[in-house]
Amino acid sequence: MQTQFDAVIIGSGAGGAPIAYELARAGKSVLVLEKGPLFRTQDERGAGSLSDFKRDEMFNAGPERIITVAGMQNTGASFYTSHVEPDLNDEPHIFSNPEDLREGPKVTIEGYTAQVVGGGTQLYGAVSLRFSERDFRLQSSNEGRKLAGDPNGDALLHVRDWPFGYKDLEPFYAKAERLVGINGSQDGQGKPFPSGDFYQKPIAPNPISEHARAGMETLGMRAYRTPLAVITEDHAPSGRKAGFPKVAYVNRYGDPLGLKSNTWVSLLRPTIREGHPLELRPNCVVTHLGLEGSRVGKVYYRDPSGQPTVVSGKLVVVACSAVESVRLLMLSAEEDPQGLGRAVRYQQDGSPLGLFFLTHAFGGAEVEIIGQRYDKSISLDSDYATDFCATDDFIRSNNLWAGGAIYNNTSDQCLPITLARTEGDTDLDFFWGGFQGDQAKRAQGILDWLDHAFGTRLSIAFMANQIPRAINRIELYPNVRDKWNRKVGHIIKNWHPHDGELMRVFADRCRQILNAGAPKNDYLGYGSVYGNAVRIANHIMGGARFGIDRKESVLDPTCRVWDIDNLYVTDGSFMPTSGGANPTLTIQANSFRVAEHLKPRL
Amino acid sequence: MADVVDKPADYVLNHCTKYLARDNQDTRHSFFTTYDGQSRGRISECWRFPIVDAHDGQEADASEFNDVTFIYVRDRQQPAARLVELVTTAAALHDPIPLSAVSDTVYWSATLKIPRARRYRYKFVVDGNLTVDPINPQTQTLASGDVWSSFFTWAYNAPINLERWEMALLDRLTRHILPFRGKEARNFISRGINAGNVGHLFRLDVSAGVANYIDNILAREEHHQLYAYKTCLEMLRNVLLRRHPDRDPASLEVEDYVALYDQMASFKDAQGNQALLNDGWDLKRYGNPAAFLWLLRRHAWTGAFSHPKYGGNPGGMAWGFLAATYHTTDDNPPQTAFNWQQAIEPPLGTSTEYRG
Repeated sequence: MQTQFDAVIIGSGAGGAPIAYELARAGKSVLVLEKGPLFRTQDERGAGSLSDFKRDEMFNAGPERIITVAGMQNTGASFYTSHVEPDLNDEPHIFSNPEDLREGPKVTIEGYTAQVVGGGTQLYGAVSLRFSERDFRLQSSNEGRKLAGDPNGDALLHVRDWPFGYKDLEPFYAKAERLVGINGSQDGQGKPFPSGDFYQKPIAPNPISEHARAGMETLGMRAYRTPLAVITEDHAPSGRKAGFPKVAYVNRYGDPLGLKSNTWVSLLRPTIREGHPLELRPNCVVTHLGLEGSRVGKVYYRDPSGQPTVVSGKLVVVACSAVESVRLLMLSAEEDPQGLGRAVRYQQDGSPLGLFFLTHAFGGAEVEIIGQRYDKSISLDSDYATDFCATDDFIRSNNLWAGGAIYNNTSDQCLPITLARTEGDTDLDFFWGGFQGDQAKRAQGILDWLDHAFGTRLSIAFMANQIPRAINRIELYPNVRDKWNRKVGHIIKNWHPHDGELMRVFADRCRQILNAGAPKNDYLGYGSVYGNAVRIANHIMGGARFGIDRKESVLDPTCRVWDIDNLYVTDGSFMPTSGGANPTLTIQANSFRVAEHLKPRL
Repeated sequence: MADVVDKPADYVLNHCTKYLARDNQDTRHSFFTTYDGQSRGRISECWRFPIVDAHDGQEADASEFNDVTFIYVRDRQQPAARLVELVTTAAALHDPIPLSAVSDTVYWSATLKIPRARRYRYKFVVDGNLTVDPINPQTQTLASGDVWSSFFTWAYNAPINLERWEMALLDRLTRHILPFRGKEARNFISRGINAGNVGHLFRLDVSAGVANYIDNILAREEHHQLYAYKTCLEMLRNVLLRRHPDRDPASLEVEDYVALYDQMASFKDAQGNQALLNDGWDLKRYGNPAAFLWLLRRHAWTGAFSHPKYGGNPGGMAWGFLAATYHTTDDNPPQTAFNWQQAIEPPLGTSTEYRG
């Protein structure tokens, strides 16, 4: 088995796959190590063969398991995870709120995406928005400003501009949109598209979404079709044929037909099929990295049997999602405190490693539309979005520091099990809690609830920048070990008061959209994750941010670890601010950008 | 005689590594002490083995079969076994089927094509020694006392762990939690929706097969809840027998069950809890009647609306109920508000692309 490669890439999702794609197509030998399995689409094992993914609600959040990790606030509680999410008793994340010791430590599924070839792009809703121009320069665009809901005046203390602007990333956004396979519309977006329009044509929206569009337009918010990483036409770059993707088994499901443009079907599979030197080893977990001089000389991993194995690459790219990437650097540092530990500045005073962990400020509003009912099961994840709340006017008039995107959710709660499982939920650890806790949902009560809820619910969500804070961080949790006897990741985070102010403003806009677009409604509620520190939205960023100042950043502007010559980190952990939109497309675009730096190095 | 199916190595590894590969030997996966003292308490989701999957074949009747992949794992620290075989009632017991080592890994596997809705016994023969499967927790004990490993295929519909009286009581308990509306539901069922999918329409009645689903998952996915069902069903039967000494508890009126739910739900209310205790619910055996009602309600819902392969929702009956009950308001004439069939594989659904 080959042990020497030009590049070893750890993680097959949005951060790793674009680099594997580019380097292998440039003739460089590439190994991708992926902890999770390689689940096949239909026909992948031969014409007529079945997929390992199923349209099966029990795959989405499965049967009950019980947290057995000792000494946690939620030891003994139930959890319900997807078949490609980790087993929380084998690989828990531990959460603590740094400002309220009553919250934690507890085991959480928050902060994971998916452990499977394709990573989070297998399960995501596929919303593929670009960040706004302002999102790249939130320090400079806020200089001297006073913000609402910032009693200590510290909201902007740790905000840093990205080392490049929107215009520098724009060609790579275009490249990602073309190669990944995304449908949507440019018309109505607030971002410029000088490189051209590579969207596939969106398919007809679900009729319920018309209420969202009408609400946005009534309030003067220009609406556009939400860009979704789902192909609607034949996609030449990946060799995929169009099909019928509107089947509701979208968000939190792997797609058996491969129409959802996860990184396996869009980038890795075609590269392997076309004979480029890309090798994928699924079911292989990297345990640590070994330093030789100023380079990572060895990548230690366990093969599918659990046997220790070693490979090396001229370049090593870590892209196993932000929490796990930071954890891998820290675990490697503990194996070699004087070598790699020093090089990544582990546990050094003033070290930025692990700090400025980010997710999004998010929330929204939801109603049941009175007197109307729709078949929500014929849908993708979202139909309409607006950039109204990303404009400078909006941000300044509300005394906010940054903006965000607003879009409707179409497929949420469209299937019966999910409808009950997510009823009244507050976070991913709370599945079934609302339904089980409401004992009135039985007999006639359950039928009355169905009458109200089935096919009538419409929600509007927002996704906005979260304030970066040094106390929001990733550490190793000393007393809990994973199934390889390694320390597990510890997520320590809470919101800044200005996040609360921003989320209040955004949630109110979502409420206004629904009231304008669906005036006859039974109001279910609006709000945000403010006050619920554990929430992460599956959007995992920061912890190894990049920058132009070595003192303040873990990575240089090319995403290389400052003091290690050949080590790069390219999942969401590089981001100094989280952007006002779902992060996946930006992670992909940045990886295409980094690949341009890497090619001349090999 | 079951056909042997050739599965590629990556299929086996993709379904094994997450659950089986590890260094740590703590008993982390023994919920409510279910697997304490057993090696399977150290691995994740032992119930997934053997792997029961859709039969991946082109035959016209492929949907009537499962591919069942048996996995044997050798200890990484021990020398490799020379020969691992499978004996099973799904094939000829006198004719062992060899497992193959999966490339250069610790896993051995064999896959058989087996009809759906069946239950069989098996053992491994490792270098000539008969052994039960150290992973799969399901067993059957013969009259002779001989213990075999056991598995069942999709939509299995005979009792596994629950007795007939337990199934009858469970059927009543869940039926009134999720009562497909009186007259409308009966009409729907009498029309024989999905009559083409009658293969698994056992014990359907008006209960959407929920009790059957629960019996199935208590053998596999949620085996840790078997104690709760065994204990609480017995106590509930005793409560009902005390209240109605001359009647079969499963034949009581709806009102009797509604009263029972109310007493379970309001158990924490200081005023509401006495009736259940007075009539025999023993808090030392199961401390929170409301928690059992939560469990029943979650299982009633998932049993009714999960894919029929899990043992409930026969022929998509509960999906069909939603489809027949709810209609769109923007279409003229109104269309169903739940066209579930278009997404689901034939013959259950009508998708022209997805094959299950």
